[in-house]
Amino acid sequence: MKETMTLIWTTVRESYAGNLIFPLYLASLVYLAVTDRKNSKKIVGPSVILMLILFNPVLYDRVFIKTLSYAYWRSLWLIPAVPVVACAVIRLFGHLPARWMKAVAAADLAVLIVFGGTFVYTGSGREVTKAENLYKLPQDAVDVSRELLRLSDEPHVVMDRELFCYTRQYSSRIIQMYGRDAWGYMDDIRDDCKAVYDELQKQAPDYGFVAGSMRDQGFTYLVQSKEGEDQAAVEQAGFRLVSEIDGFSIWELTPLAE
Amino acid sequence: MKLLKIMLCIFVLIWLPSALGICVFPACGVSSAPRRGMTEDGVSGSEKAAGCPDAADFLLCMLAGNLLMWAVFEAVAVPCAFGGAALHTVLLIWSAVIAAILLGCSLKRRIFPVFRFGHRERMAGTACPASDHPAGSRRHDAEILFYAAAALAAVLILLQCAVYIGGMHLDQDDSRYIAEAVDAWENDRIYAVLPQSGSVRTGAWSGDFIKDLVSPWPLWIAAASKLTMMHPATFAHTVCAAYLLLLFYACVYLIGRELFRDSREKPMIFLAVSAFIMMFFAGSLRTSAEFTLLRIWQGKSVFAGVGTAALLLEFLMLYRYAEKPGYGSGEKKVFLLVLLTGAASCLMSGMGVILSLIMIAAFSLWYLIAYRRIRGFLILMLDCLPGIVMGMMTILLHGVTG
Repeated sequence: MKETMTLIWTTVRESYAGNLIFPLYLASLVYLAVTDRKNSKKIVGPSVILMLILFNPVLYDRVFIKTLSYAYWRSLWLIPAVPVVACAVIRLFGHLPARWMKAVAAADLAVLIVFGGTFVYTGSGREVTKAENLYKLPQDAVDVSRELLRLSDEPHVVMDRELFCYTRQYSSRIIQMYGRDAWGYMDDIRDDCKAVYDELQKQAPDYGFVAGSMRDQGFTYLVQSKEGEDQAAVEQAGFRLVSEIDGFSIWELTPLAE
Repeated sequence: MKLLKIMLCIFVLIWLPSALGICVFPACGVSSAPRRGMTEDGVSGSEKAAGCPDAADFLLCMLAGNLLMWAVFEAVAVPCAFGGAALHTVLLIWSAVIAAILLGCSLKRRIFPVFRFGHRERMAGTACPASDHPAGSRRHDAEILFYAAAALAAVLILLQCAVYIGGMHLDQDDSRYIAEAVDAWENDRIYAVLPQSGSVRTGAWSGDFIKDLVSPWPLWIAAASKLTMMHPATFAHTVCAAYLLLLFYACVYLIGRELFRDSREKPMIFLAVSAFIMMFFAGSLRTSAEFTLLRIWQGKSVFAGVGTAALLLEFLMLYRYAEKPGYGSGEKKVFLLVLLTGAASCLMSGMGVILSLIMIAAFSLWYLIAYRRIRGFLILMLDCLPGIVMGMMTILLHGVTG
């Protein structure tokens, strides 16, 4: 039980890291319960029931960990933290008699939220940049995809790791040997595909091995970043450079001589 | 061509859900505004209530219409996907059902599904806070507060929309969701290939595909893209994202109206404060604000934003109705809304299946404890059916495939 409660508390702490919303939410619940009977019946009561369910160690062990598993933290989305805090803020302002007091309270709360919180559009994992195109995909991924589709109606490609998450969002006619599954997401990647991915991440990949694997699996094109690329080694393995776009080389595997 | 796409977007995202909302939930179950000497189901019955603005009614129509569209899509897409149907089959059946609902309700209620501002028909769901400000300087202060809060809310919300429209947030989860949508849209097929590679999917439903089968939100993106003649990546990342964000804030405003029914300016302040808090509610990459403001086009984020807000709103409405004896038609419509939200949550995400059940259970338990409405509680348990059915389907599929 103690261990489970520790796990639950760790999840709550980690999920609400970087902002003061959870303590503000708890304080708001108490404030509303004491000062606002009408809304406390509508919002405090159900919030407490919800927390009793979500933070229940028995339910956590028997239900949540089996159904939600790694994503138990998403159950915290159910907690109406923002509406409760906003409701408490308005009630607080209503109880302050003078205009200047309301203004000071508003400024204080704004400072608390801004400096105690984290701005949603900055920081690692939250980057927002200027859109490069209407698809909201990296422009180099769009350009490489268009070029591949110009070369073939259904190009079979070994795609560079910087692009493989985006090219099939542009067109499903691009068939890739691997995508994000190379990083262990979603589908289990085949061993021979994983071997090609691992080889290409090396400082000096064995392009002969890559070419052989591509021929066995019916793949024709290799797209990789020009940075640090040994063009001579790639050509020696049987590839022909067909295009260069946005810092990426597109190589075509030449047929084996009969 | 651009003009045609814009018009199609307006049709699919604005006219269709609002028409459905008006037809299926005319005045949200309450057909007329309170008049002198007339009791009003679900509304205070006060004459003051007659002056409530139409904007809230329109917002509730839009929400109800979207939930209905999504619930119908879930009911159609899941069996079609399971049976290996094409996307156009899903779209045809869904369109037929939606058209039948629109036509049937229009004929039955003799309503032309155009929202008439100023019409006396009102939505009882969030109807009519009394605009009875005291005369004189306090009323003047309240007006100033209302407009100041509205201006602040507009700036914050439009800024967030501008980020979706002009900005780009790359999320690698899209290598699955958008890739599945693009494949369905481009090739008129459903989950026929592995999204990461494009190689043909073989064998029975397994792994993450079970989640996608039970919660086919990418198919909704593909279908809506077909209807609006847009590329799914463009539709999801730009149009849909801004639209869903506005729908989320519509829910937030309506929640404010439920909490502060005695005031016109307080719901607007509530909206502004909520929008402000949302922008600083980040840190762990796990908060609902991060999912709502950065990648709302993904099904799980739609649930985190619109889904949870809609459920909260509906239960606040039910708690209000529960303060009066008996079950009026307005309250019955809200029970229906909860059912639709549960079904729509199943469309959004596998998380939506489970989490919507938890939220409905928790809020229903309070409904029973605090208001002692046993019949209503039983109806709410029936509203859990979509989640229960989809949950059992998920368990069965996992069990069958091992």
